[in-house]
Amino acid sequence: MDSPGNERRTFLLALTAGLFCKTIGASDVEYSVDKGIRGRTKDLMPEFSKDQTSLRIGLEYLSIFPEEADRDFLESATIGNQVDWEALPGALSDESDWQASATDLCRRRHEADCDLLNMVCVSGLVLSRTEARLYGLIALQAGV
Amino acid sequence: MIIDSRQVENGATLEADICIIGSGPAGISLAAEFLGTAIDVCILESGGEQPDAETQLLAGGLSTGHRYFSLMSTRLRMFGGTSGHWTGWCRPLDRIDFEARPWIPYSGWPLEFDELTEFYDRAQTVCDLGPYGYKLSDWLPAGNDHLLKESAGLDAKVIQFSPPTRFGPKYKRQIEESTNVIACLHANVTQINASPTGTEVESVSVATLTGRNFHVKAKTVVLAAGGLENPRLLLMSDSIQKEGLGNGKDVVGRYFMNHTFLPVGFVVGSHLAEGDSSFVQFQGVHQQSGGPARVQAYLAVSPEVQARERIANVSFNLVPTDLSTLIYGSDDNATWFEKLGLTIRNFDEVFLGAANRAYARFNPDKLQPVYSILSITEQTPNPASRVTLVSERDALGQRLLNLEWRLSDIDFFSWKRSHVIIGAELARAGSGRIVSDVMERDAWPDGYIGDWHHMGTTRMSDSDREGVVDRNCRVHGISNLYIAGSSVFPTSGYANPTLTIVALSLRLADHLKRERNG
Repeated sequence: MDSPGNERRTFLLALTAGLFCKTIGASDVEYSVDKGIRGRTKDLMPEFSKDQTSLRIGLEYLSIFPEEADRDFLESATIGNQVDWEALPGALSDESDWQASATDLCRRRHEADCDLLNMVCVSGLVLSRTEARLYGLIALQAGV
Repeated sequence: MIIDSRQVENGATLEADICIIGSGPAGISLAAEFLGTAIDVCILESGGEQPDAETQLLAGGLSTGHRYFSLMSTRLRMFGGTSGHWTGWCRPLDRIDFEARPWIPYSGWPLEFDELTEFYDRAQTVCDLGPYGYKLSDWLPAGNDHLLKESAGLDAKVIQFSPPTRFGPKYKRQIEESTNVIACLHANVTQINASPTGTEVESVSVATLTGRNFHVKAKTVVLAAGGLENPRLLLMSDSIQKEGLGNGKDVVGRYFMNHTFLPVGFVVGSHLAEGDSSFVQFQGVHQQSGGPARVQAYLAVSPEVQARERIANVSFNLVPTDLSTLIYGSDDNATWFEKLGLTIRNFDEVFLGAANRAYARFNPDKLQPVYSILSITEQTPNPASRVTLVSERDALGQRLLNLEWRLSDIDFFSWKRSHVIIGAELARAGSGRIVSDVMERDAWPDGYIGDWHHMGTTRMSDSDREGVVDRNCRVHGISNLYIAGSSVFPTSGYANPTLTIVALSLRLADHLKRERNG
């Protein structure tokens, strides 16, 4: 079993990736993932490995910014780092608290990017830097 | 009264208080303000009630700058002028379009937006529009949530659609029955004859294609022949001022502006399929106090963001598009897509993936909307973008014009940067994402040829070094020569020009009446 830190890390990645991917349309996890597993983050994560569009966008981002193909960097820039995760409330099973905190963190970063016009064009999509990095992280996570 | 100039006695001299050259929206709306008054008005129109090929050839010319349409195709020489193929889009200029912006050279009008409000309001009736209201909040019921709320970066506004008004048919009967307004059809102006000092116009020389020649003597002459023909007439009239009438400072014909009018991408996103599309689909007939109108919502980059980013004024129309026909459609749709001039890498992967998943979930009869984006960008004033005369001549022996349309670096930067802005605003609101290749471009799209809005060539300025006419549209240095139409615009904004053209004509009419009264 993963250590609590790793479990949180996986959970956060799944949640925030799901949050952004759901709104984009190009990588529409909501439509491709069985309803029954949407709430189960450990089961949700492998779905991203199957989502070719997410992976392709992530790979393209990393081809444009190869210097960012580092999991620690991308995690820190998107879902936060160990310090951020340890500050999250709730026990591992209390997903609703985690969800609120994790999505809030990513959403704030995404909105800050939008306010500062920190946008990139990947696969024709105009994305916030945070969002694009999230796809890059998904690609790294999938081991592609 | 409406007469055929081909029946006018050769060598005749007609007299009037005001001679208006051109019967398009600028000329006719100006003339209409004098119907039933004690002021005699003579309108000179090159064409007849219907377009004819021989007359239309007189609208030809050359184009040696940025690729552009055939000049003949963008103008109509007929009673009612280019309103004969007008599509009816109406919106006023924005307040910022009148302001001197430090990051836009040669920007600013010698009058403020508020000075035109009264005339915009009156122009609504002339253009058969609804009440004067161009904010989305003027039309959307209070409390109605809409897809794209106004944000710090984007303003939500509306276009109103004229039927469209065909100015010739609209005013024909009134002019026919008028005792003080006469319209001379098939009357081509060949010279505007100045006094020996060049400080006033003494007469206008007119010729028909059938060989008739006559003159019009008027106390006041108004050029209302359009953004290309107005400067041409001044440049042609070089018997006293060799550089052209009113052109002592080499400004006539310069600062030609057009709008960049380009389809540039799509908005996609699952939220758009899920229902809150009231903004984007906010079009159709809507009721507001004061009457119904046909309107369509659009977005514009806010003045604050324009200043911060140092860009020109830009608007975006989001047009619902059938995703299924986009993906699975016929050759017609492929042709439509090609016309957009887009190259989106991996387009099929992006859209087919999303479309397949959407169809798997949705009833196949339900279509997931995608919105195409049409951007309209202000062209910034550029003295190198200009109209000149060439040695080739038309059937009347008059020199043709050459359009050397030039776009500047700030025009391109504004166009590109504005897509980042709207992309960020949509992403921030969670409303979807833009799919576009604009951000990756380093040049205008292949095949881009602008639109049919001809502006700036006899621009308005308090200084005769930067303008041809003053704030009252009188030509600098010539006491009785005025200009009406979009050639007097110092800046173009993104707004379709007709409403402003009419508003300025109404303002000019009031000015001429005041002058006459004392």
